[in-house]
Amino acid sequence: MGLLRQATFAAAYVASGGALHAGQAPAPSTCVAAKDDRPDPIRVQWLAGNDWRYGNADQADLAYRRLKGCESPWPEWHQEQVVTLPAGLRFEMAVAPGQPVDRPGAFGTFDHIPDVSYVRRTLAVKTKWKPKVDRVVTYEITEPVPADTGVIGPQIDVEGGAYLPGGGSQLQMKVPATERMRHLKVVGTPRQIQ
Amino acid sequence: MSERRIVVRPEGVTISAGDGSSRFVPAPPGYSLSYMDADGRIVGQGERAVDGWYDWHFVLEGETLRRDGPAY
Repeated sequence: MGLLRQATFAAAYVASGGALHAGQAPAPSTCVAAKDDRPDPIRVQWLAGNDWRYGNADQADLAYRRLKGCESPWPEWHQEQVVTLPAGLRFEMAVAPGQPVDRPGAFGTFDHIPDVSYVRRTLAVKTKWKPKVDRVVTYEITEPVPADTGVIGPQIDVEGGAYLPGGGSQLQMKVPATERMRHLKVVGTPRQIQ
Repeated sequence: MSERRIVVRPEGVTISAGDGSSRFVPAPPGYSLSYMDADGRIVGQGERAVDGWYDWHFVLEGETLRRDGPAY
């Protein structure tokens, strides 16, 4: 992280009352979900595993609304660090019905994906991010590819009516989408999952 | 109501109506369209990340594709 970026991050961190957001800087406040005092069972589940991270209830509430509205795919504590994934490394990706295998998404996992429930809960793939999943594709890196890697953060799946705890492994390729297949090849035949 | 058929190609979407007419809506600048998701939104893959995401859902609105939300 450069000095300017560090200074910007530090200023934003202070401005946000010390509540960290995923990535290198807090997300813009415009994406934070509105305060809502109605009963929210998903919020209760999220608090059970996460409220210890925050100094008080207001900070925890802000973090919840930030996650709900800003939808970072990384945990709040994640600091982006792009590494070069080497040729020969394999990973799996959950794909949607109709999604060509030569049009992979940006995200993959080093986990083995057994079923759709794992995609939702452990990979924390929200329903609105990918309404349906029907296959798993194994990719092998053929040319080194820059990627951010780490642990998958929790998500609030409003459409699916569920708290998705995350916790699996994740990589996010940091190349233009149309260049992904220059770095990858498909291994074997896609595996159907339910 | 006439039946619509939508074909997604990297460069845009072709919407064919039951009466034989069709129209073409180009992909948003900087995006290559990939496929239609189960809820009817179209996934576009970008040259650059926007708010950390390269892949986005787009919704067909008249003659344009409106960015709707991130796609995984």
